[in-house]
Amino acid sequence: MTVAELQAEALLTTEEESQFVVIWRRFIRHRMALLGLITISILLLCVIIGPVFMPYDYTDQVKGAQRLGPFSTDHLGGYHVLGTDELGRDLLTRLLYAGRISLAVGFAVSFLETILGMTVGAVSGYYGGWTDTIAMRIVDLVLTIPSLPLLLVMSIILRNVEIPGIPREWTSVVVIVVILAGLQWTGPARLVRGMVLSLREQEFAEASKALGVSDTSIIFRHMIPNSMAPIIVSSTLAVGGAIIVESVLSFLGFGVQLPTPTWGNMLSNARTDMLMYPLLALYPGVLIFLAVLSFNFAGDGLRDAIDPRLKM
Amino acid sequence: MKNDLLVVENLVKYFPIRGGILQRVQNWVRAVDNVSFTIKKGETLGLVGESGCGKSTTGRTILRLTPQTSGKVWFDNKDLFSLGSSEMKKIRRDLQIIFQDPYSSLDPRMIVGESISEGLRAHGIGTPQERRQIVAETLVRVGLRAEHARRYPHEFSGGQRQRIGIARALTMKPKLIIADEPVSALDVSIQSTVLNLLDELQEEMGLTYVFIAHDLSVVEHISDRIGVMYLGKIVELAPRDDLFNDPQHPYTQALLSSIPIPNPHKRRKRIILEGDVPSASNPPPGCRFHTRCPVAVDRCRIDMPDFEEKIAGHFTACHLVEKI
Ligand SMILES: Nc1ncnc2c1ncn2[C@@H]1O[C@H](COP(=O)(O)OP(=O)(O)OP(=O)(O)O)[C@@H](O)[C@H]1O
Ligand code: SF4
Ligand SMILES: [Mg+2]
Repeated sequence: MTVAELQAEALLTTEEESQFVVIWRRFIRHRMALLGLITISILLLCVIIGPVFMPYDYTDQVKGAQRLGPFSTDHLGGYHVLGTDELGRDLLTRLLYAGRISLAVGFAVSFLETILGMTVGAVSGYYGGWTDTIAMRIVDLVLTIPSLPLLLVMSIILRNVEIPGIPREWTSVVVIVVILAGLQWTGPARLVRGMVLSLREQEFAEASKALGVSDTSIIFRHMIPNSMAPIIVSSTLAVGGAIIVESVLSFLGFGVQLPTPTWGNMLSNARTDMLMYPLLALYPGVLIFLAVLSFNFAGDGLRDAIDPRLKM
Repeated sequence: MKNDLLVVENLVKYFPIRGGILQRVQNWVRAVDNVSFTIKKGETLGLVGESGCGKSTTGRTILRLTPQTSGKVWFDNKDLFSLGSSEMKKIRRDLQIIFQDPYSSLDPRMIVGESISEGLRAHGIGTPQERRQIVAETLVRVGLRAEHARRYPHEFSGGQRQRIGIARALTMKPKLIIADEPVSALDVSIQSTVLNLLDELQEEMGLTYVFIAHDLSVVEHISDRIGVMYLGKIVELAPRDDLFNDPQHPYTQALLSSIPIPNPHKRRKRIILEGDVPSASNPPPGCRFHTRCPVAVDRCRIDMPDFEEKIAGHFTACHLVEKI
């Protein structure tokens, strides 16, 4: 390329692109973060397309082929790479399906809590005054709720509700997602409020106001886009957090309900004969561990990559 | 009143200082304290004063970017502070502002074209296609290029950003622009090019300016009249030449004495002010300038001098200046 062409190209790079490149470069320098991202991608790939290649459904039971070990063939000639569970269901198939649900719960909770928290935080920080006082009191209130007991009570109450338009086996998934998001939006809310408190004092916000731009537009076109970096980080961390909480709930018997498998309820299910069949617990346990760790590493790496000074 | 585009009457803006665990109001920052002035169509009023004397707050309060404590502002014979939000929005087209800081005055995440056309969008002016056209034309008018619309603010220099800020205000075809220290943050070498641009635009579009600066020399060329502020008050307001040739207020005299004059025969005696500007949350009683005034008398410590038209068209707030 000639010098002129190079210059022309430099002029064409927009901030978005160049910023993205800079962040990406800093991110991949963070080795654990990169490893986390790769793990997450592999997991996602497996759980999304993996079940398609499995000859079994996650509910298929083979009578008389319970708790087969790894690399075994049942009496009907079916091959089970990881073996079967206590009802004779193929473990790999179940793990893949469970991964779908667990990751979906993680992403859904993260998405919901981020949207909700971001909106409340932005409105609260932008308007200030009474709006802010009331919103922050609500945040304090939610934060003082002891979440575990509430989760237990709520999931018992909501366990058998019918939600129109949602298949029966998905009900408990939806319930868990809503409860978790409903408890955790306070984090992003405080985060965004803090950002907006300083952003609204910037002259570009005043300029928009002077132009007659509506508050809603200022919030959604200026305040939120400028708070995006920490929001992305916190929502990445939130995915791992939600997966953990779902597992804890499952362990206590109040998570997503069987037969819909999650890594959490598979783990908790396996604990009855943990000593005899440790592999049944090991598989989902390792997957939870891997997924959560990966999201945390990726989130930490993103935080450092986006802004080395930003500490949350 | 008929010819006056903007009339500011006894404008007051106090900011609460909160403290304690209950966040009660403990004191007030008297940022703007009883400021009055008028501006005719096509005129430029320079507003000068040291940092923190309330220049920006005056501008922001007039624009209703921050609520007033008391006072009245008429713009185009409309009482601004009594307008409903939809009427106010309509009037915002005529009343624009240019900011001091070329860095924080543009949203770093928005391409320049979006920023410039934001006002047009908000008022539903033109189709997206037409708005792009307006943005392109305005960019060219302020000395940039049409294709700059697609770039982000960080790709521009301070001077260019200031031009973008000017373009943003111009798209609304305003009648009055409050220019809040538009060149203070720029290199001396580019200050004059931006000042010239503002001058040309005024002529071309019949603009009226409130031109804020902290230095008399910056406003000298562009202003028709100049107001000098000290601690939230205007202490002297006069046509430019009257103010420069015959300053009445001791503060103005001190400010003028610090401007070097090229002509060695017309040397002014430098008046050095002692002490610091008192805090706006605890202003001195009487004349606010008395703690630093070289000619203060006893009365100055007790009585607040009125801001009066001592000579025709020349307003001053000082006990020692005789009314003629
Ligand atoms: N939002 C605010 N809350 C509290 N006090 C404020 C606020 N804005 C301004 N002030 C105070 O009001 C006074 C006047 O500030 P203002 O910004 O109007 O001064 P200025 O003349 O524009 O100064 P500068 O030349 O530094 O821009 C200062 O004492 C400042 O600290
Ligand atoms: S009133 Fe008194 S203190 Fe104030 S400027 Fe005049 S002489 Fe100085
Ligand atoms: Mg200012």
